[in-house]
Amino acid sequence: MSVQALPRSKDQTKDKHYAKAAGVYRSIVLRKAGWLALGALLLVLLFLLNIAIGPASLSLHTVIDALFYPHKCDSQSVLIVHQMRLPIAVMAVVVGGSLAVAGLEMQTLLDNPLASPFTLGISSAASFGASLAIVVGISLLPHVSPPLVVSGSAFVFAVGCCLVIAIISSVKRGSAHSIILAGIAMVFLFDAAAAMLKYVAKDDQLAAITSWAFGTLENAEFSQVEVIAAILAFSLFFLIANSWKLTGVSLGDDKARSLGINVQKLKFETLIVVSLLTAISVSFVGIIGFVGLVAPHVARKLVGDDQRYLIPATCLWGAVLLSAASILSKIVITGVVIPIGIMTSLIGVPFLFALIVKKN
Amino acid sequence: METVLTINDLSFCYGLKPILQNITLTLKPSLTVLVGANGAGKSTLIKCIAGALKPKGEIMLTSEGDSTAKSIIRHTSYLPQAQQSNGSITVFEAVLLGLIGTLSLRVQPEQTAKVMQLLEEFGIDGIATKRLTELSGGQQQMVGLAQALIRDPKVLLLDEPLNNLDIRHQFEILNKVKQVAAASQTIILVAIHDLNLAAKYAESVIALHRGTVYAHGTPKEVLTESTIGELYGMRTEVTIKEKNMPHIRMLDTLNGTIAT
Repeated sequence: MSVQALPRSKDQTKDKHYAKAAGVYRSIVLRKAGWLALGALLLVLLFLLNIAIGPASLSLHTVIDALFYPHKCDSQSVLIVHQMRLPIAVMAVVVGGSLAVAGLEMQTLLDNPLASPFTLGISSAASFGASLAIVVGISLLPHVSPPLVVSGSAFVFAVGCCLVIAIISSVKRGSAHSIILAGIAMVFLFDAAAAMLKYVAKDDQLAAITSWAFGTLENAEFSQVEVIAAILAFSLFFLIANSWKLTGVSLGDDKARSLGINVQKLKFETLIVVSLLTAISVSFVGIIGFVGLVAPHVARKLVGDDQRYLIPATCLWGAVLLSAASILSKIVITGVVIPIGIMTSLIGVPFLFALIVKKN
Repeated sequence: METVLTINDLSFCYGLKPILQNITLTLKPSLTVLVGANGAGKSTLIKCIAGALKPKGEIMLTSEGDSTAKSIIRHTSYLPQAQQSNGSITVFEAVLLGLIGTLSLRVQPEQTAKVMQLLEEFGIDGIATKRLTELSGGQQQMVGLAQALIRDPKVLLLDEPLNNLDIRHQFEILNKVKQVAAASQTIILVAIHDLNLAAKYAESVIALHRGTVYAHGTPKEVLTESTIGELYGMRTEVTIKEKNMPHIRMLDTLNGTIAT
């Protein structure tokens, strides 16, 4: 019996196939939806805990009241929640989601499980941009607020780095090896340039550069959160709209091309989206490593490679991981908030070792 | 209406290195096996037809009596060389992915029913919810074949689908391909290394040598001692068995070394 010669005209056989297929497909989809729901629940819980935990400890009940019924709460709790902790908690969610989704698509495009948003030198470029602003930029632009000069410069260099890599990707027809090599070249270039700046920097500038590179959510502002959230929303829309094609690319470039996917165009566009997500996050919060590496692996383990579910799951688990890291950064040493970039690296390195050993 | 695949003066280079030169072929619905030594250009030719590479020359898919060329990519399914899959998707999703050109975010019941129909036909419906990483090489190839066939292709290209498979799975895959060839109007081109399997299953054989078509005809016409000697640098003894099927016995390398 061949594919074309199947007895499709027989209603009974047809109904049987429809019923059985619906059952199997529903079981696959429900399992994934379950993990998405669990991730969302966990995120809500960690989000509230992230607001509750701090030098002045608040109960979850107080946090919920302060968020939704502020008139029921004392003014001090409302102030702590809205002015101090909410921007940080929301920033953890949007930056965690952004870096995780960027990491996922970097792993897909480069066909490399160890790829992350920073594989292509975007963090090095942003670091250089921030260092340049700290050493020379702030004094050149005395009327602009210093944090804005630093973030703006980091963003400009991160985007510049992405554009160079996107152009190389386009010239080399989306070859993963070419993209990775170009990324390595960018890392060396910007690290050397940043080292040069550190060499000539004054002590206070050096301290500022080091502090920026740690990665922290403590300076979060709603205006920044809005920009990152808008870019994350646009990226999710673009990526989910292309989710079948991205799943096809994960089977290999040749296979994807033969399925009718314009691999070169898809990779170019996705690279731009991923770069924007990374550049905007890094420029506001500094370098927060490992979320972009770890979250896609957790999500993939739970929902598989079907990107219709993998993209939202990765976004959720990235937000979960960064929210958890944010909480840990506040409770590891009483009274001290450890920069979150240090925390995520401390959590991420054991995971990376496990991944390397498992993947042999 | 019979479909015809015409390849006209096709050439392809990797950088400056020519891989395929002036390939001209006409293929009709049947099972054609592509043979040749490593580096002869088998995979490159298949990738060119599949649209994964952009060669010089012309590749046309037409129906007899209708000169309008159809889109090759739309009507062609391609199974790349067998590799252990790292894809963390289920068997059901992998086969569904074969319909990628027509899939939207919400999968239609007709599409899932078509997947199930094919899985049952391939006898792999019992592993529909297993992930590809949990399957054996033979099962993965069956899934790959089902994925390739779900589009009802007019051209089916299989690049060394028997690599790393045990003898039973090699026969199972080729039996399935043969069934499709017998019951449908599909042009099937399969690259394989085992010349006796080529002789047993192929209706026609194309011998590629250094990027050119060295011979094209029935297994009896192509799989001769002299052709195999030229292609592989091997000394052989070819006897013709029932149904004009050649049987090839490998004796030694010519002059003690393998010609390249």
